Amino acid sequence: MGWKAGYTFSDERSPTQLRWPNHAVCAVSVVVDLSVPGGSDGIRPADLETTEARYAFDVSLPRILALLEQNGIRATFPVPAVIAQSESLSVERVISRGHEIAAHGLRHEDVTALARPDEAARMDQTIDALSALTGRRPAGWYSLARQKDRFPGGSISANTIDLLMGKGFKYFGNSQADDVPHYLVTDPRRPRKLLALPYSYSCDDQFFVSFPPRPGGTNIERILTLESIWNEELEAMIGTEERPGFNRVVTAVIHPYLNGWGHRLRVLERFLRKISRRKEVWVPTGSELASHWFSINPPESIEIRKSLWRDAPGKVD
Amino acid sequence: MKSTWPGGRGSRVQWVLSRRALLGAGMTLAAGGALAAASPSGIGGRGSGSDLLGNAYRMSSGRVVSRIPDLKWPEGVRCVVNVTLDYDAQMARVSNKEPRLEATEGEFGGRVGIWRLLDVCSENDVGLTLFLPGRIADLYPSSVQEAARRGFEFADHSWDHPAWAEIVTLDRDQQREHLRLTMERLQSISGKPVIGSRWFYALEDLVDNGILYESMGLADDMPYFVTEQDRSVVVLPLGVEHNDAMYWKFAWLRSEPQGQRIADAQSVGKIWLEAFREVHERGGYLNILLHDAVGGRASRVAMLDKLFKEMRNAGGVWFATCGDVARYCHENYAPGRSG
Repeated sequence: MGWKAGYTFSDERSPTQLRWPNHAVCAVSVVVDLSVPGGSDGIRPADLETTEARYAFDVSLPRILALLEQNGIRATFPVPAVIAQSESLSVERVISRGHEIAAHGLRHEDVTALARPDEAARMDQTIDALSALTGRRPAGWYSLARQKDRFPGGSISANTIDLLMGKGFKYFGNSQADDVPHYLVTDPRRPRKLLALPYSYSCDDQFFVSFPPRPGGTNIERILTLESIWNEELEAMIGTEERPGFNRVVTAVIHPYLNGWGHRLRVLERFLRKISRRKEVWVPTGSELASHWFSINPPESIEIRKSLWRDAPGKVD
Repeated sequence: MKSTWPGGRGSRVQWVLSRRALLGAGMTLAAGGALAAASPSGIGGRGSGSDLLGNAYRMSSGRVVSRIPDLKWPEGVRCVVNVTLDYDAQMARVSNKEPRLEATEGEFGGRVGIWRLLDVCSENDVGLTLFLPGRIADLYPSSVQEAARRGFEFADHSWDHPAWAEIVTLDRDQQREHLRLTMERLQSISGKPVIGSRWFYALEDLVDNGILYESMGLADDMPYFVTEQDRSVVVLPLGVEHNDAMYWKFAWLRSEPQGQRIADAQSVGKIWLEAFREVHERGGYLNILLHDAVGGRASRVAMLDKLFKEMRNAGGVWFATCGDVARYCHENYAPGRSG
């Protein structure tokens, strides 16, 4: 058996004693997922004509952009290639405000079962579509979950990470293996590593603000819980007089098709205002966060020990 | 200090049996401490009110559950809190074939969460008990060695945390082999005997390997004994409401996406503090179950820190390890010992 094969993506222990720019004690990354609901094949043309899709691009997005601007925050926008093509005016508006555009699949489809050549071709198409719009290759690739997915971690295939390395991506956007950036290792023999940025579904609005109508349920509008979690995570990272902070990264993920008015917008407004005013907080884009990580923990710094993972006797394996 | 019995607090005792292991078994309640044989129908036929005050019952399987009606804690102890940690990291997720990015949540537990939970327990002088799949010692050797160095207790939690579908296909020999492998591995790191288990092994195999306690099930909210063929272990009961995964693990026990109500840390802290207050008042027992992957997130560790301090400030709390409690019960209350 190889290096903890099938078990481990990253090295054994996360680095501590981190330093952030501008004497900040922690970082908050704001991610605005520009996807809209689609099927397992991802977003189809009809999915852009739903009321929630129109709301997302025509009403909600301008308001979210205004909020970000008021608070001087530059966010990271994962954009599926089909959105870059069909909603190019919206995406151009995002670019013009100085936000980062990251790749989010061709159609934000489930790639788990794709053959390697097919997946590679879709990746190329995605890079081309985003490059045509932004004038540069995307640095980051996200694979965020869709709201009705069985698991909230997002989908990758056995080849995704390796393909992203081959295509020169600077970072992968959402891994849950840490609450700071960390390196994903696909082959320990000739170490190929890709930086991953931290993600946790507990800070992603789509799991708090809307649920399928059937079987439905009671009290399923829970954005105030999300607000509480955002604040708790932020305070735990900053620390209090009694307890030092954990000094790490909070990744707040929002979806314009779910969050653009009323109490939800107020929650977002309060959080953005808070992180922009607290001097302990650094608010980088994905690419800025990755660059800083390369400077404090370069890829060579990670420790991949020779396999301690012994084959167990007999039937256990 | 006074301990009261479930039978004394209401008209019905609700026997909450552990997971699937005991479901479907017919049981008969015994009167006045004497044991009644299971009725042929498998449905207890002697359920008068007085029967419910009995201290033991025999399952149709022959297993006997005996409470400890006169359980008193050591001098100066008002109540007992066991903090237990199922250090699963990504073991269960890999066994359950969770998608790759979902299993990374388990890696968070091994890379990050475990260290924070060790720290918050050390800082608060809490006698943590870690329930470990034996192979975790291969995946995350540094943290397991560190937990041993700090003197925390190790207990069995299977060899590689197999999925349920796999568990039921393991024969007794394979189960015994898993238990032996895990105990050996853990003992080689801690240098101390493993005397506890939280898994689905046969009681006979547990006792014959020197296990003194297990920690699943809630036939009582105080420690109790289960006995088969003169072999007994203490059960350190565990309520699902004291399990952090129930609040924080998306898709817990295969729940559907629309069934998720991920909680903030302060809500869970409020529930657990309230549970503690009742237990403290009554002189009872509380078992808080943490998981490295979900319980180790920053805001949740900060909550635990606050919770442990409030518990300690209440006075008279024994933050024991599970082994401490199990030994105390065996020494003072083993079935048949005091009649």
